[in-house]
Amino acid sequence: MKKLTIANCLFLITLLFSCGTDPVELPRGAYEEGVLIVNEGAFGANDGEIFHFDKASGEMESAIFEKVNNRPFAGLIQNMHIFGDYAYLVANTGKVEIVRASDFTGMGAVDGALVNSRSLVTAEGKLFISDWGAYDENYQNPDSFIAVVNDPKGGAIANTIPVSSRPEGLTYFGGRVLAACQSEGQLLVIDPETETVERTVQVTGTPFSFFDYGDKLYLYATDAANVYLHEIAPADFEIADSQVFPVANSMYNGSFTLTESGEIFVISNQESEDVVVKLSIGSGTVSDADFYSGNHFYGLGYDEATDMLYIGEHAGWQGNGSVLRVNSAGELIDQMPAGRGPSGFYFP
Amino acid sequence: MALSKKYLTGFILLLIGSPGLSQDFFGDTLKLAPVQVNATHLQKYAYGQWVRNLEKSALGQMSGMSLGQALQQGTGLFVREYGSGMLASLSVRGTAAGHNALFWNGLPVNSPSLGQADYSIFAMAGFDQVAVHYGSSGALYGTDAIGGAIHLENSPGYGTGHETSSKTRLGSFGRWDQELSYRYGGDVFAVKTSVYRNIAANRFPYADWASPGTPTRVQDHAAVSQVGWAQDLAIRLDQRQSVEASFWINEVDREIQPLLGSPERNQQLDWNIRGVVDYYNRRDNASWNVKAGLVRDKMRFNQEENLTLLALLGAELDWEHSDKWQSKTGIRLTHIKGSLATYSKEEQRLELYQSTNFKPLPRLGFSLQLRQLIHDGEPVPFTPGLGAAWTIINQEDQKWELTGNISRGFKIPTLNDRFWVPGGNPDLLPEQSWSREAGLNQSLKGARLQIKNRLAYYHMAVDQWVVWLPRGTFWTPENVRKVVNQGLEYFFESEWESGTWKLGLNLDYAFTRPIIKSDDQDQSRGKRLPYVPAHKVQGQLHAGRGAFSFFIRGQKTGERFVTTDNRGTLPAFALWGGGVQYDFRFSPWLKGDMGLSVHNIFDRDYQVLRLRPMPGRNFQFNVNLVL
Repeated sequence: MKKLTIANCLFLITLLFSCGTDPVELPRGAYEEGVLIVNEGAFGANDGEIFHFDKASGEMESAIFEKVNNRPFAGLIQNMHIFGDYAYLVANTGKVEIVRASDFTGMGAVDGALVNSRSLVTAEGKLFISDWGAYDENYQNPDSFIAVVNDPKGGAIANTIPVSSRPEGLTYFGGRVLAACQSEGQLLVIDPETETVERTVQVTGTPFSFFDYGDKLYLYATDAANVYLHEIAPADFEIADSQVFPVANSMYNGSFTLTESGEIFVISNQESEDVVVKLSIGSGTVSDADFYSGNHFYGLGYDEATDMLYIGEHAGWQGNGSVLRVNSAGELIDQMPAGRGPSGFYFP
Repeated sequence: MALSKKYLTGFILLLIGSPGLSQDFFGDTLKLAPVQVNATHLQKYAYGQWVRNLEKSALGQMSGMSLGQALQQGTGLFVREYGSGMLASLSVRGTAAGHNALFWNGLPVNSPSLGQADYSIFAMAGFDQVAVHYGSSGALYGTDAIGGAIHLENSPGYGTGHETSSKTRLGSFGRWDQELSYRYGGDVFAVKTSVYRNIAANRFPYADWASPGTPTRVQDHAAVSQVGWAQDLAIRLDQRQSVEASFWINEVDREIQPLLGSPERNQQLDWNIRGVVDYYNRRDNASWNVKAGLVRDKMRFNQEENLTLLALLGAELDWEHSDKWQSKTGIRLTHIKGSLATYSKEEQRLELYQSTNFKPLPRLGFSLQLRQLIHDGEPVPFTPGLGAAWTIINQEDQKWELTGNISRGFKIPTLNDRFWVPGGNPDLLPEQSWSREAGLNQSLKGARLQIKNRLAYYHMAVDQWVVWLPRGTFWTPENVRKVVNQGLEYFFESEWESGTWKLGLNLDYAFTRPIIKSDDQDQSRGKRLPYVPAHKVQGQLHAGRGAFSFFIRGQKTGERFVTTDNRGTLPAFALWGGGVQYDFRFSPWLKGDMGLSVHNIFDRDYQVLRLRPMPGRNFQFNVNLVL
């Protein structure tokens, strides 16, 4: 019996070495192509989920987290971030779950006292998670923090960094973690090694999130009358330049999308309808004040491959929402059923 | 023997006061408590409608239960439970929580700010009897009575002597319910005092579907502590006049069971003070009544406090012109004051109502009900109702009766709907309904076996349904929805006696089909309302011999849609339970019973509402002592 086992091992090793020089073709994950749709979920229902849209077949696959992992996500998904092989589902119901991005198999979660987690970034092998903390009696969040986890695959919270109220978007830039804090309109610069706030930069408007364009880092911010794009200086993290776009009542969740050609789409909640407004970073102007209009718009995404704008529509939160696809001329191509409150789109 | 006469007298009174079989379907098969059963006034002007009386003795072992739990376990009604001991709202015939009126001794106790009641905070110790009025009865009861009305009643119990009782229930997951009461019934004076304390730690294990690996955890934030004092007083001033008063203080302190996946640690404290005084003057062919009542509800959710006050003054004249004609005329003035987190408002309601019974033939009766409510000076739509009951066969061993009814119902927009800041919409219209139903009641009576059946079909259209919708940066309510509900209700009750054995089997079945006909959202049109099971069946088999008895109870709640677009469902679930009871008498002055029961016997992991786990198999032991 023992001889047989040794023989089997030798055979297996021979087989492996004999194939070593051939290209190994791993099966592609089901979700490495197409469109991933983040459905935030409704307050009090915790029914956030990820849907997958196959552009080739036109089929929408619902609730892929539950389908793959045999349990509901059970949370309100504030953001989904993909870093490396992992997708991080950040729920404002106080949890972060980590799945393999290619097939959505659950890989882990963050353990610990997350309360109202908003966004996440990886830096120097750690996870940094912005969290508003609990509401006080005046519906403010004085105990906001950024949680630090020492393993990108999740686990216990190793440290919490007290920060200015309502930290939202995070990014890793110039060896530092930057955090956009809404209540006091501040940009925080955090040393990921010492896990301390190094400096605070005041910005105009309510800052939401960061994006890269043309080798520059921008911070997206809004107020009741304008949308601001603040360019961050890499040397000192100060505001190097700001563009101001006169877009009133931009979407309260800070939803926008960027194209490779430097156009930004934002949603403006107007009196009787929601209007998608197109901005140009290059010219610093509003290039189309009414690109597309409708009701209950909630999230945006842009597919460079097909030049289509994806608009998430929440159906008045009375049920599941839908996704509208609009071409570059602002014409509706189609509308597909989605989950509860479609708020974001990813194009792997 | 004296007691038997009282039973008999009460039974005869019940039959005489009842216009038809539909109203006393369960009346003569339940063991009447030795007190006057006065729910007949609910049935008197309700030909063609169905009022079902649920005596506590019929439901058994209910001390310590909430009204929501009792209705969920003892009827085919669907109660939306947000966890064990948490918010419980009632759905009758597929309607929303706010479409059912709740009365305590004739006093409306739906929250004026929310427009609905939390059935979990009404402890069974606060009343003697529950009556369920199925279907729309807006003309009889006013606002909110679209799907149905629940009446909680106290009975004065003249002539019953002294009685002191203690009811104790100990249960799994940290439950301890204790009720102490004293009752005295003299010829002219009756009093009842009850104090209760119900504690449930609710530390039950559950599967945490929100966490990787679905670990089993123990619920650590669902503790409920309830205390209360209920006081009833009744005085016969003379042969014709009496005064009855009831007073109820209730306090519930709850850790709100969080939704799976949420770390919330909310705390809710409810204080309720309710008081009502009735003066009755009974003449040979007429009687009149003056009612005054007060309901004060204070609710603190974390740091946020909401207070509502409802004061009611009403008068009613009930007179019989002849054997064929009966009439009731009433007026009701209600003053409501709300001090909510974001606004303070007051409002007045004036109601005039008239009900008339006409019996052209001994076996045929009609009821016509009319009501006009004036809300802050503006009349709401005039509300009529017309019903009929026809006994087609009336023999000693069997009785068949046809019933029919058409009625209008309405719901005044709540204070929050109109005044919440931001978003309150003062221009909201009342929700309105038209309802019609037809039913067949049948009873068979043999030497040892009694069987009763009721089958009813209903059709109800609710228009101007209020839905809160996001408009810009805040939400606002609008009259956007119309829903048509259709359904079937079937009830079966049987009693069988063989030697020293007594057996009984009860079944309730409800088929409910509420379809959204128009809505703000295209995708909702033609779909079913969420969280309304198409099917719910409930049954109980009970048997007894001498001092021993046992019961087996089961219910199955069908699949429920989660959203109005009907794209997600919650699975159906079946729950089974059973128990044994032993009645004892230690001496002429000390008697009682003790019992052991098990609930969710197959340890089913179920959710009434999505992501809100409920307790698994649990045991309860109760001891009731009567001095």
